[in-house]
Amino acid sequence: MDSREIRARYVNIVGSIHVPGEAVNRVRDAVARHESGATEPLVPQSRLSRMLERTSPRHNVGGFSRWAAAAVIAVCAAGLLVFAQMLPWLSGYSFDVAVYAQGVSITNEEGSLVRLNQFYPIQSSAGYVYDAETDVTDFTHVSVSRTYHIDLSVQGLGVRSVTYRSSNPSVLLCPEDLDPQDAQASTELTTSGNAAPQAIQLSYVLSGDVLDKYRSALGDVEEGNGSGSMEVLLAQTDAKTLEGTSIEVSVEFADGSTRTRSYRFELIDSYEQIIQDAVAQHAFGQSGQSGMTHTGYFRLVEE
Amino acid sequence: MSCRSADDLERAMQDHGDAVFRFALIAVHSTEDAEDVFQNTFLRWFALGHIDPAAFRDLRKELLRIAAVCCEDIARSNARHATVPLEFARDIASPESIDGDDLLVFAAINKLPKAMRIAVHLAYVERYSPTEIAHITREKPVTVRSRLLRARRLLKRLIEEERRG
Repeated sequence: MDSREIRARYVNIVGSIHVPGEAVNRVRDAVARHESGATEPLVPQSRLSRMLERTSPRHNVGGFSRWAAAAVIAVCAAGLLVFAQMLPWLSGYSFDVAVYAQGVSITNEEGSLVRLNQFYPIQSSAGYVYDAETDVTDFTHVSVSRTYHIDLSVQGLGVRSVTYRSSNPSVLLCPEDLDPQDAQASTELTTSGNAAPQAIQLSYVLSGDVLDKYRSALGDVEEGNGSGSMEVLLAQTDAKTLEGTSIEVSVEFADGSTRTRSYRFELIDSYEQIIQDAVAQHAFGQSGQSGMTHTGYFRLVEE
Repeated sequence: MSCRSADDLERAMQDHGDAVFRFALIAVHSTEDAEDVFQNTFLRWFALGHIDPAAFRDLRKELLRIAAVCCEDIARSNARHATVPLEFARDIASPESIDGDDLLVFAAINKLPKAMRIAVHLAYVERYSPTEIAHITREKPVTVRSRLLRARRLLKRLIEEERRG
């Protein structure tokens, strides 16, 4: 049973629980009594004070003025902050994320751009959107799924488990031990130890002008004019889908503490032209092996 | 005198009453206590009517925040929480809408420690983020995030155990 099914089953059972009418009536009666001029307060003031944010000035604390109390708290907080900063060092637990695309490090070379020959789809599929419930195929939308190899390995001491989260529902993470074609890709993935996702899957729907371009490119392929325009179109759509996506990496250490780092995909302005040029040089084929280019078009930035 | 009207209260109970009651039930594991939490939550919200309306923009979140405090009060004043989760599920839900696997999941979630099942309930049912859950339970987001992580792992183990009987 996976997380989605657990959630669905729990929501199903909890959704059938409703507040009893008697409880609602008791609240109505209490308020009606209060509104009709009952002398005692609806709720004692001592209970209410716990519900409030600090909106009014505080009284003196333990004989100090509130400024003195604030200064003492600030000093203690600063001490705690320094201690908290030192905790990972004291425990020896820390981690770093080494991101690789086709074996080439992305984040270790600071500021380096991911090159097209390092980042290419290892699996690609497309088809009209089909609704199984109504048995109707929607010919105005094409669903596309493209899987790219990318390794987000965590390196560190005392790593118990790692949770990866994608901020973009169109960018899914594939587990390390599965074939991307069969993988149960999801926006959240928890792995034990230093295991890491090995691929990301981009899933999106083409419609309108982009779909017209897709059909035209498909026509080129069918007429034997090559797949260049198709590759350019899909690579550019992939890049737009990926842009701005953040991958959050949360590590739980052996002592139960956690640390989180986040990485964002950032595209450079001229990525469209770079992809066009690269495809024209046959550097961005399905195998990713033909030809070489040194042009990069996106980088991963730690947030 | 409160600036909230009886109509406001009626609307709040209609829109969010079930959510508050469900949250209370999962937190305190007793129908009677959950009804008390429900009553105290709405009365306190009504009594707080004249204070900082800006703080109450997201009404359901604020009601759940008040309910969380009411649950703590109940827990302090009362020790009757020894309900067996599976029987508890059968008692409170409509039997026609649920099947065996639903009960299995519900029983497993209700076997989680209180703080974990509150976090899981708010994440699964209300679809709140760890930051929003932290606001309701008055904790740090990182604490909630870590708790959810551990809860999910424990939950899978508990479901397996429930399956094996």
